[in-house]
Order: sequence, then C-alpha cells, then structure tokens
Amino acid sequence: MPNASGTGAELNKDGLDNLSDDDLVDMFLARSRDDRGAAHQCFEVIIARYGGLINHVVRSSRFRYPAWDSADDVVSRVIFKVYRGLAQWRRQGRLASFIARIAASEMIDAIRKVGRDKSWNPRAGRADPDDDEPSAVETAPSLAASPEAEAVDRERREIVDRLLADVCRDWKDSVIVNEYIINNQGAKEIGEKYNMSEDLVYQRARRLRVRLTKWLAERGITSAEALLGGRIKN
Amino acid sequence: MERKHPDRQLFDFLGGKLDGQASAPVQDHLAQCEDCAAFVRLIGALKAEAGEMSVKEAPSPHLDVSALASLFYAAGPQPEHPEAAAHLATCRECAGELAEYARAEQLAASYTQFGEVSGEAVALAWQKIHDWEESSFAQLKPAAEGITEEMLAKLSELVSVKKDHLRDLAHEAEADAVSTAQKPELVPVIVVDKEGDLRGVELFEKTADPRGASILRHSEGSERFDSKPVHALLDFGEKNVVVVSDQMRQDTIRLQRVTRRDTDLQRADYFIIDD
Repeated sequence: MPNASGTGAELNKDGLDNLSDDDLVDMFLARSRDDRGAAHQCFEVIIARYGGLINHVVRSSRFRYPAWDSADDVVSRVIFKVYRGLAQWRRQGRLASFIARIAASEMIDAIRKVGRDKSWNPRAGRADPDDDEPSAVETAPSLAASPEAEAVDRERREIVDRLLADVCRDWKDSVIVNEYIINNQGAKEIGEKYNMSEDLVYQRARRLRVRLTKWLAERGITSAEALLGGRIKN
Repeated sequence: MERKHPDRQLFDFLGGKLDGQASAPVQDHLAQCEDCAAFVRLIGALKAEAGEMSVKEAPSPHLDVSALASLFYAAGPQPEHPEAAAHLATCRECAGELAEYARAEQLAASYTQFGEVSGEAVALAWQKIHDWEESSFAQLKPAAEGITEEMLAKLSELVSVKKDHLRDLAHEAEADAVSTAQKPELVPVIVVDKEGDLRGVELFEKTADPRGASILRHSEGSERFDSKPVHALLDFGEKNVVVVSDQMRQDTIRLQRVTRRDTDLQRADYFIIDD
C-alpha cells in the first residue's frame, strides 16, 4: 500500500474502478502535479487492473532469474517504470500494450544484466558440478586470427550485412531469415514464437528469395564465392 | 517450356527436412535450373557465414533494448534502420529477445484482468516510487540564470573526480531508456541539487529544432525539469572552461553555438540544477 502524502481528499474507490483507462490515466497525470496521494490512489487501480499482466509477462518468460535479481525485483521495476512513464502513453494503442512493452523491455534488460555476470547463464540449465567433461571454454578453439584473416572476415561480414540490410525490410523478414532460412526452424514453431501465421512465414520466405536473387543479379553476382570472396558493386 | 520453381520444398530441402525420396524432385530441378541452384549455393554460403559468426566474438554489438523495441513496434518497413534488421537476421540472441516482445504483445492483446502481482513486488515498487518522488516532485523555484563560483568549482570537481561513476550512471540510464523511436544520439546530462551534489544522470536526445538549431530533448519526454537552470561547461583546452547558462524549456535545452578561433571544443558537460 502506498504511503500517500498528498493533501487532497480521498478519491472514491468505486468511482476510480469504473473509469476507463484513458480517464484513469488522465486523472493520475492531473493529480500527480498537486495531489500525490490521489495520484497514488489512481495508480493503485491501474496496478490492480494490469498487475496480473506484468506478472505474467515477467514470470512466464523462458528466461530464468537469479536470486539476486528475482522476478519480484523485475516486476517492481516494471511497476515503477509504468508509474514514471505513464505520461508517455500516446493513446494510439491499448494501455495493456504499453505496459506489456515496458515489462518486456525491463525483462530483457534484466536478462542482459545477469548475462554479463559470467557465472550466471540465464539461457542454460544449471551446470553439473560433478561433471568431469571439459567445459566449453576449455574445448573452444583459439579465436586468434591473423590480421589478414581478420580483414577478410570483416569484409565478408560487411558484404553479408549489406545484403541482409537491403533485403530485410522489417523484423519479420529478419527473424524469417534467421530462424527459417539460416537455422532451419519450422514455420509452425516460428509462428508460435513470434506470433505470426505459418502462411506468413512461407509468404515472406518466398519474397525474401526474390529479393535476394534480385540483389545478386543487380550486382552481377553469379556464385556464392563471388558474394563472399571478393569485392562487389554497391 | 516454363519451369515451375520449387518453393516450400526448396526451403525444406535447404533445411534438410526432405528424405531421399522427397528430395529427388528438388534435386532434379536443381540439376536443370541454374537460378535455383545459385540460390541454394547462396543460402549454403550464408548459413556457413552465419555459423562462423556465431562462434566468433560478436563483430557488431547486440541491438540495445530500445532498438529492439523500435524494430518490433515500428509500423511498416524501416528502411532508415537497415543495420538493425541485418543484425537481427543473424543474431540468435537478439531474435530470441525480440520474441519476448511478441509474447508480451500477444498476452496484452488477449488480456482480461487476471491474476495478481505479489505483495512483495508491489511494496518494492512503492518504495522506488517514493524514493523517486523525493527527488523529483520538488517545488519549482525561480531559476537563476548565472552560476556562482562555488557551484562552478563543485561541477568541475564532479566532472573530474567522478568521471567513471558518471559514465556508469549514463550507461545505466541508457539501458533503462524506453524509447518509441529509433534512438538518436544520446547525451548524458548530470543532475545536481542546489548544493552541487550529484542526484543522477538523465539522457537527452541530440537533435535539431524546425529552424535547424541544435537542441537536447529529454528522452523520457518529461517536463519535470522545465524552468530549472542548465549550465554547459565547455572545455576548449584552455585554463578555464566556458560556461553557458540557460533554463530548461518544454523538456528542451537549447545549445548555444560557442566557438574559439584557434581551438576546437574538446569536451562539453551539461548540468541541470534540480533544487
């Protein structure tokens, strides 16, 4: 419960419960200027409406959180950022969408922060401490490369980046190249993961194929070796 | 005679999803169709390149969270940010994280009030809100246009002594930023109280107003610093820094053009006095 320290009269709880999201946020923003207690009351109602959504977005993630940055910590930061950022809700979309976006951003941020702690891998299961097998670090090949090899790698990377930048027109194109074309994931799984239809995956893949082929033809590239092994026309 | 190019079957073939019998018609087609064969070779090379990139140090940094959000929530194509789309096409980590936006959006679309948030999380959130309000809901006071010698000394000391700390705060603020648009150049602005003690770092977007003048606009779009004094400490490598003072207006700091005949600006630090 908030420790409201405003000076205004207590708002009617039932009245707040019956307000639309738009009206409730308007009232919250108006009261934030001069009556903090009333603003807190409005925000309590917002959290009563959307706390479940925040909780679900954060806790049903496939990522896991460490004890020192638990799901409760992440949820609390999301609520705080919703409070701080409500004025940024532009009303083009639902309040639920605005809040879900903040929750997803905070969750990704938390996962990245814990990922920077090398002793914690949020993407993997727990390591078996009794395992005698050499670790991935121990078996990894040396990454050192000669300056010439690095230059060639860099040039190839630039060419691939340019190709992909030209043919991928939005995030859906990008994830279809990534998941479907390069990593062989099934259209059904991709559709479920990214909330798009299976048909859309096939349709986009077809269009990407046309654009990739056109991109190569416009630059006179007739082989993969020409694409990745040498300079190309802009 | 016009040949019919395999479509889904070609991608299934590339993904190794066709067994010997099922792959035979595709292989027959590839033996006759140079276009499709070239495409298969290209994708093979692309897969090899992407596989190689995934085991090396990331050649380009991962997309920051606001860039991921901008890509996901953009309405329509984004030809102005092609590099982000290119990164996403080969980075499995960023693609996996973007999937979290898709999941969150799906939950939001079908959300009808359900479940509750834990009491502990709510209590933690209210604590954060109270702490923040203590520093952000201060009464506005008339801003002083100038800067005292004492304040200047404090700000200069802050910049030199707490350089690393300020940089960390700026990185933290950048990671926290929830931006609706692709992130432009972000400039950290240091917020101090009237004693010159550090309160935090806010990120401002460097952009231009309709008349082309350079401005810094608060990336949160908040007007909570309006009317507060702003000081820019400009270091031209001379004995004394140049101080330009102004006020925040409509979440914006106007950057005044200051030049020196013989030397370039080496560093600029911006301060808001949040009293």
